[in-house]
Amino acid sequence: MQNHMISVLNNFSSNPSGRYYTDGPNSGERFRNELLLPALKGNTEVTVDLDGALGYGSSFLEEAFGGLVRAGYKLAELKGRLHVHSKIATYRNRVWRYIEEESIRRYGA
Amino acid sequence: MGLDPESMMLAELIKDYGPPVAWIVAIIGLYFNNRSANTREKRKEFRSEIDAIEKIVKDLLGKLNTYNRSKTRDDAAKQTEVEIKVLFREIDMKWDRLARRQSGGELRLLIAPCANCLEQFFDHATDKYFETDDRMPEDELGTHHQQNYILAMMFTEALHSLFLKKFDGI
Repeated sequence: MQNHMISVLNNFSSNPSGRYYTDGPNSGERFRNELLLPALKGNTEVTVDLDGALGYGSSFLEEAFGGLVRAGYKLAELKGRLHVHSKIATYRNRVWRYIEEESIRRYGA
Repeated sequence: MGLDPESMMLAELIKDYGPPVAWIVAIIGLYFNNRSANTREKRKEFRSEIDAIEKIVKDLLGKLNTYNRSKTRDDAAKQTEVEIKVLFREIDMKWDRLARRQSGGELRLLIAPCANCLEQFFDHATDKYFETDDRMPEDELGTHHQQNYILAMMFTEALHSLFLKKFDGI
C-alpha cells in the first residue's frame, strides 16, 4: 500500500466537465467512482494532480470531491489520506472547501 | 580681520567633515528616491494586475450570459463552457499571484474577503445548469445573470479595497 497518484490530465481528461454521468463522459461522478474511490480503497494515500486541465467548474469539483463525503468518507480521514496538488492554490482550497462544506452538511462538522 | 573662535571651529568642521556629509546626504537622497520609485512601480504593477482581472471578469460575464441563454447544449455551447472555465482559471492564477505577494496582518484580513467573493462568484456561475443538458428556465435567467454581476462586482470591489489599503492605507 502506497501513495497512488492520479493526474486529471493524464489519467482522466484535459476537459473535465459536468457533475453526473448524464452530463458527459468526463463528469465529476465518473472521476470519483472510477478513479478516486478505487484508489482510496486500494491505497493508504492518494494524490490528485489537478494541473494541466483546461479548467474546472464547481459542479465537477463538488461532485468529485464533496461526493467522497457522500460516499462515506469522513473529513478527518480524507485530510490524512488525500493530497491535492495544483500550482494554483485556489484549486486546492476549493477542493477542501467542497469536502468541508459537505462534511458540515452531513455530519455537522 | 580674523574670524572669532566659534566661526573658526565651524569652518574647520566643515573643512574636515564637509565631503563625507555631502556624500551621506546624496546617498540618503538616492535611497528615498529609489524607494518611492519602487513603490510607484509596484503600484503600477498591482493596478495593472487588477485591471487585467477586471477585464477578464467582464469577458466572463459576457460568456456566461451567452451560455445561459443558449437553447440547447450544442457544440457552440460546449465551446463556451470551455472558454468560461479557461477564463476562471486565468482569474484564479492572477488572483493567486496577487494574494501570494501580500503580507502584513491587515492585508491578510483583506485577502479573505476577496477570496470569498471569488468563490461565491465561481460557485454561482458554474453550478446547477453549467455543463448539463438542462437549460436554465427563462424566468430564472434575469435573476441569475443579475446575481452573477453582483458577485463579480463584489469581487472586483474587494480587489480595489485591497489596493487602497496597500498603497494609501485607507
